[in-house]
Amino acid sequence: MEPDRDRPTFTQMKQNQAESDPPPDAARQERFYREIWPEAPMLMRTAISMSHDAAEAEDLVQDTLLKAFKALDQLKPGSYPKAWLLTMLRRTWIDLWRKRTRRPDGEAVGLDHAPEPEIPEDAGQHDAEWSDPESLLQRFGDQEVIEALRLLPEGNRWALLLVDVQSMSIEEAADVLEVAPGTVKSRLHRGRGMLRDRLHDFAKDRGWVQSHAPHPLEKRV
Amino acid sequence: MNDQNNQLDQATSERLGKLASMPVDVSRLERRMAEAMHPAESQQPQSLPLSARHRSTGWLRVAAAVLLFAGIGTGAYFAFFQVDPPAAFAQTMTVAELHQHLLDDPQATYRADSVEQAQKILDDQLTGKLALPIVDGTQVESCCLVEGQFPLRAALVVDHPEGPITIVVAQGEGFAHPMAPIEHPSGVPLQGHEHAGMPMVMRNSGDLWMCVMGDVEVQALADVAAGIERWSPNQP
Repeated sequence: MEPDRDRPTFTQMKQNQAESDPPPDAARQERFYREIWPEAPMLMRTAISMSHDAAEAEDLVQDTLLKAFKALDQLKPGSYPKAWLLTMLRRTWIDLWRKRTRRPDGEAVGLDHAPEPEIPEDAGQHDAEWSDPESLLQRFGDQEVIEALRLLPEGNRWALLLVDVQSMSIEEAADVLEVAPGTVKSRLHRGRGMLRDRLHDFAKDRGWVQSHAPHPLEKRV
Repeated sequence: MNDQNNQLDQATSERLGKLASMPVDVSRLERRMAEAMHPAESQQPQSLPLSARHRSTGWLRVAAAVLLFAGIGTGAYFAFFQVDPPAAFAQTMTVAELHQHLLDDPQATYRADSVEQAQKILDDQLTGKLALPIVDGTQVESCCLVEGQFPLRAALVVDHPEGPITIVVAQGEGFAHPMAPIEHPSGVPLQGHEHAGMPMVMRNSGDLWMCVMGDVEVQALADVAAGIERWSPNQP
């Protein structure tokens, strides 16, 4: 039970690693708070829609910001860091997701094999029932919209968050998501339809809309 | 139909756009980041993860405790309290701080090379045969638990092949928020969580909970957590 003093401890290994890291730098901190920190609320809003809860979102954003702080030299002075940070957030989120969803044999599950929420094939199936979409959509609170977003497949959710929420261009979003612009466009269109379907369910629960057509899930019964 | 689709997409996009101005509270995050990067609080390099930077304050507490209990003298005692008042010595630590504290202090920490050894140390600490590895009366708090501070009941380090793992047992209430359930072949119910990039596996029994934490694969943590057979006085 005595510690083995010849064996490097985890702490020593971390200290050795620390010695190879860049030294503390007041200028770096100053730059971080000037250029990066103002984007923290934007990162939090995005993380909240990706995470299970606020605590996980905060951990995710903190990890992202620490990575950004460490990699600050890679950001060109004066450049707009939003896309850079969102790319980092997405990769941090993927790391978190992979850690959480290892297979029993310890292998990480690829994102391509991620279990996705069960979504009917025809997104936007209730669109005909949205007689006044603008006013109906405005009735939903932010939390309800976020809950509906969380029910969407990852790819569609990211596309909506980057383009519709963060006002990025299709090309910028494609860079962050590491896919072709055409893929972003199709994910966006389908994602919006799926989001309306989820919100339609919420609206139906609240009696805001009356469904004339049977719900596709009801058809199966 | 296309016009209607475009109109619906436009309305959906506009509603989503309003999320960009949704108020969010970043005050806690700001404190965590300041703690992680403020040079006055830590001599550690700025780029280390938060959990590593907790070492600085952990070391202060340990050094203070050693001075105090070794009875080096009232001079040292007063010298210490000149720097750090008794209130700051109250030994309330987060699970992440305690984890780092245990790893930083290998000579004072109970270490086990197997789950069996860990079980023996836990048994002895829980029944009072072994003292706790840190100051008596230490309270633990965790983001995973409902808000509060809870008495530490046992703590040790397991030298797992993948890296050191800490086991902390404290008296506490239910989990503050739902965590990811971990399916373990043993059938033992486990919950997964992560703090500053480091995974932790939690196990709950009555008013006691156990946190197994380390910079290793979640599977390794789950194996250790599930391998402990007795960690609550109520268990046979």
